Amino acid sequence: MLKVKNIHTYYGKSHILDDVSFEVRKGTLVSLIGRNGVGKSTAVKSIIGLTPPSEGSITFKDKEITGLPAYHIAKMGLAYVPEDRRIFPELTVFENLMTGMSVKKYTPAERETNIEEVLTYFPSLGPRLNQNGDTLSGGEQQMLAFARALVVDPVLLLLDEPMEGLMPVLVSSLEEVLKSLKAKAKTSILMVEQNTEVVLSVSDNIYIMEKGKIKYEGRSDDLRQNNSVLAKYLGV
Amino acid sequence: MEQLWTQLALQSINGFVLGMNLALIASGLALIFGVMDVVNFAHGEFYMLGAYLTWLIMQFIPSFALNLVVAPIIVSALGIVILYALLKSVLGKKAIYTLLATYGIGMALRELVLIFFGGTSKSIQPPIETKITILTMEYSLYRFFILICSLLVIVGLWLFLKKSKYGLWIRATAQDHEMAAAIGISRPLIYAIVFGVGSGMASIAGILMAPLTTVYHTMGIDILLLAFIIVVVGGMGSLKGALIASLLIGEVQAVGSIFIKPTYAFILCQILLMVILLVRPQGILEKR
Repeated sequence: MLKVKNIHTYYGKSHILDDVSFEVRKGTLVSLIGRNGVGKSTAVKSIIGLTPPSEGSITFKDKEITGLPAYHIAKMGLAYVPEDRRIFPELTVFENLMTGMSVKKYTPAERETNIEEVLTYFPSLGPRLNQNGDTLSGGEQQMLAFARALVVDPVLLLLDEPMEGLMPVLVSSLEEVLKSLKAKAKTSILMVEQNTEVVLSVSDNIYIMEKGKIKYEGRSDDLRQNNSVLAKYLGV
Repeated sequence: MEQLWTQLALQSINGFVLGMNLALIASGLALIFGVMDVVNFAHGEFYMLGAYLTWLIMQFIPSFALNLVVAPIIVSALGIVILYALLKSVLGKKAIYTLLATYGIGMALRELVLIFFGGTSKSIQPPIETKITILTMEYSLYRFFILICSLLVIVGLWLFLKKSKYGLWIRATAQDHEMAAAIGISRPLIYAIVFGVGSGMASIAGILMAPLTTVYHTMGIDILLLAFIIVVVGGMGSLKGALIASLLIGEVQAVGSIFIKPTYAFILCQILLMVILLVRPQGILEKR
């Protein structure tokens, strides 16, 4: 589904991603983990086209997407939940949900169904559809960012630290959403996350990054048993 | 005393007419800045081109109504061509690049008009010459026509931004252009729409004002200064702010002209706007 091969990404002169390769197979949940500042978020931004890599190749469903503009990549079925939510603060919750859907050719009935479906995951957004995004709490904004990505029925969901700064109850709720998405196997997921417990619980495959490089790759069951790796790269 | 009240009434209407016309120009400028972060120094030239196109088309087809439709379409299309032919390479770079580029484009457009139309100013007959009596004085019905047309365009813009798919995309792009792109909203398309709409609105203002003033190649410079003040005072990129500031300027200038010379009324406007900026440096309203 998604293949990232030997990419190098720079911010100015800083070499952020150094020969990074990984893969997300259809219907799986893959996590990129590592300490702060190792390049995890940049990897996701490189895929969606916000920080295009200067070398290497990214293919999605066997099509080269390296260097394509973000809007083009998004239209291919990728949806992105950024690290800092980045909902549209002065659009209503409904309008936030509509932004992505209006880009694709949904019928009004399909739109309604998609919104209803996404509200089953995040019922607290239901009564707030006409409220502006900036009037929501931090947790609700995170739900909205998630819902905005899910409502377009993505083929691949890119999640950048979706649990960051959330109360434990919301973390559990998002974890349930991830498990439910996995069970449906319709959407593949690439997640960047610091919460090792959640990552180990929901992921199929895990890649550990350090200083812009992939240092470990393996199944989450294997990593759970591998105390030396957990201690070395994650301090667990 | 009665004459003063009559004058006050007429000048208030005049102020409203002027304000709404300024709002047409300033809204386009605010929209372009709000979405594209471009301070468009060529904006006044689209106002001027609207007036010149009207004069030119009227030489062959003397229909003002037709002009109001055709000229804005031509100017919008020209705006989009200029955006992609001349401005595209400087978009997203430091403000000084777009500032110099648009300043150069404005200068080139003025010179081209000068070469093509000559230095003599042109005049256009008002399409409505009927006068009505307000209190004891006669008043041109054409000014009401300007008011209604300007109102319709402003309401049209508001409906477009609030109710249409493209309006939603424009508002999303103005709030977070990177995230809007990551959702699938095409930035080149949004920029084309915004620049086209902005240029078209400036040209409509020029078309409507042309029968009241003479048409000359530097007419855009005078109006641009006012439009910039309005955009800054309204709150950079805020459409509502631009509308409020336009009406304020229009009224102060028109009503002030009863008591002081029109030139001084213009200075009074600027003093008032400086005071507003001292009290609210962010402008009347922040970007929405």
